[in-house]
Amino acid sequence: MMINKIGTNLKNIETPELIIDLDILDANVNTVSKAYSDSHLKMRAHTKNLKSPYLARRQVEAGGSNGGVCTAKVSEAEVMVEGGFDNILIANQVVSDDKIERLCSLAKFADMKVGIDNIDNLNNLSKFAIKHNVILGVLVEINTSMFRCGVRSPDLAVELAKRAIELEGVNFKGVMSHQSIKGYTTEEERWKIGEEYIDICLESKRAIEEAGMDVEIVSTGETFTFDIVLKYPEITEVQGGTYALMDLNYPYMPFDIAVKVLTTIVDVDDDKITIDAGNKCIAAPNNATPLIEGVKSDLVEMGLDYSVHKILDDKKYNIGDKVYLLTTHEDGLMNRWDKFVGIRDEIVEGSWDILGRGCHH
Amino acid sequence: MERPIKKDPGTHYTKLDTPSLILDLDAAKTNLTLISTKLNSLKLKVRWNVNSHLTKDILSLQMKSVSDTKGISVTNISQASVFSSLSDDIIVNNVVLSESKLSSITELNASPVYSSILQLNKIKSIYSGGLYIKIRIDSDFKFESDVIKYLLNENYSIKGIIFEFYKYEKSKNHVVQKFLNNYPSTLNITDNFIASGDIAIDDYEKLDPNFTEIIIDKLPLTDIDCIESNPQVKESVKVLTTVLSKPDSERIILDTGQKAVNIDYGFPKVKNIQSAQIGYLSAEHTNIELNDQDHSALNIGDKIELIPSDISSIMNQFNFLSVVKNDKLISTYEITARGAYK
Repeated sequence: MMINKIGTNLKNIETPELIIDLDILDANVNTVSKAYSDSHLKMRAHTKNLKSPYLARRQVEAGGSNGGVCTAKVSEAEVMVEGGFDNILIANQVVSDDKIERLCSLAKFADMKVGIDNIDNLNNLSKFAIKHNVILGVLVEINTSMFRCGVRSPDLAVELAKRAIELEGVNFKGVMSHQSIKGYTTEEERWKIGEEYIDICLESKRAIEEAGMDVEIVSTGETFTFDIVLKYPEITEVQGGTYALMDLNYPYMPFDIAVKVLTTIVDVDDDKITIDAGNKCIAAPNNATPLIEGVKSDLVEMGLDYSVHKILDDKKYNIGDKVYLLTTHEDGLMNRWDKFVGIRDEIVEGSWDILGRGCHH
Repeated sequence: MERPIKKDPGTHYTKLDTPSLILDLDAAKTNLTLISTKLNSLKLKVRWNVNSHLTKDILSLQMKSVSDTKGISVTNISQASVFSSLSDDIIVNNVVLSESKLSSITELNASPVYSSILQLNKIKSIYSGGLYIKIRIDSDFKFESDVIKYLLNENYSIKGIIFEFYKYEKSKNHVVQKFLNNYPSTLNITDNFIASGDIAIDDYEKLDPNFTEIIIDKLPLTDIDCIESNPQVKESVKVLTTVLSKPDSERIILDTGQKAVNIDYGFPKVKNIQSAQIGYLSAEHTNIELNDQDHSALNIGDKIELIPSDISSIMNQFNFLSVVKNDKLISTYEITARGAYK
């Protein structure tokens, strides 16, 4: 495989290549660090986006973190435990027996917590934890807006919390939720939507407390609410995923896009350019098309290994010119690559394995 | 930690870790036999597009099953490098511009593909090897005489012409005929007229008789589109998933999202559940709505099978294929060129 070596100038990089601008990454991470260092809540970076223990370590060491991370899967948690993390929340359900066994195995090396939304699953977690003589932390997942996993009512949250307290092998820790925003028109609206979702999560937290149980962890909020969460003294940690590398989804947040695909123009035809990056190396789901950085353009065609873009401004391009492609889906982008190249001032500083890539299981 | 998670041979496929990408070997072999039989009745050689499966074991299976194999088509130098141990006739079916990549092409004895004067101008000072010319058979088909003049003036060695269809279209036959009747003698080529694109098996015989080769894309692997275009093939690939949550009375959530099942070319289909309607796939989840009866019949932990919308993009998401025969795991195929983009 072709490797872009340390010291290579951007203009000589073989393309397509996944690039992380380390200065932008540091700036993004420091923005959160400054916000949370002296606050009552801390960042628990969601590593399903980055998939790299190295990048997660940079987030934690910047400050404002509780030292833990989130993952979406057992396999990602395994990567993070191997990477030296000992406080992990799998912000998702783990239901297959095999995977619960692996979760229990991890609990011998790290403080493992997992989301729950079902009594049978909770019972099963307890059964395996007892078998392996470990304790699994459990957080009730609350549905606030996405209508996938997560309980739909505070009553069920209370029921799950009660059962978790009764069972051996599991330790009821609190509640968690994840939400997304599809777009908004004003800052006021962003705050309104963010508060509305967080309030749904807190409603369950309060119901559990009113039923006489302690709630140690409230893990909620994400990139689009990273500032809104600060007004809630009940929130203990924030599951920030996108903010470190960023994508096109949050242009209104105080973070810049650090992760990009460097591409080469391989054809120019009137007002259209073809570049050497397509679906295999950049995600374009749900018609959320990638854009060329700094160029007014429309995606015309997304092939597997190329894409065609119509140029809407007056700039002229030549075959061989390099342009950056930006993604609308940072998660999907990182998952397509085995390595990323870190650059500073347009010079390659190093390349790192994306160890959590392909960890579907 | 054990990673990736692979089960022992003999494991029933429903016991595999999920999400798993599963290949039914018998179905794949049946599909290859269909191709072989069809090609035997025509004078066409086959060139396998490994970009569709990225897997050396599958190329070996293709080459073993179809004796009329001429070579392979790859998309980039990294793929050429991965597959060069299995074929010495490699077309890099894409524009290559950089000096180091063109140098690798020479080392691998492969051939690049060009479709415009601008591209050829860019490489003429750094590459003098043979090349293929690619013509896209689309609505604005153009291969002007000035291109021919340019090729002749620059003394390029033209190894063949690739006509790229998007599926076979009868209405485009005259375009191909016009070209094949006029230009090959001017360009001094008599062979290597190649048809490419997602051409259905039943359409092989409708191609212009001057074609000498066909590039086959997905088969023996199948996806929704491939099965629709080729009703005679056996469904050979599916994604096994697990029900992760039943959060309300009309919905199930699977443990499989876009990171495993790429949806850039459409949603997958749920197998064997009549009422299942996929609402959306997020990064790690599939959200499915179904009727009361189907919802009641499912429990958390149950397995659900999905038929991919586009197998080529999904092969690039997984690290290996679980290969089953009679529903039991017999092998795993590493997806050797996954992530090979350069």
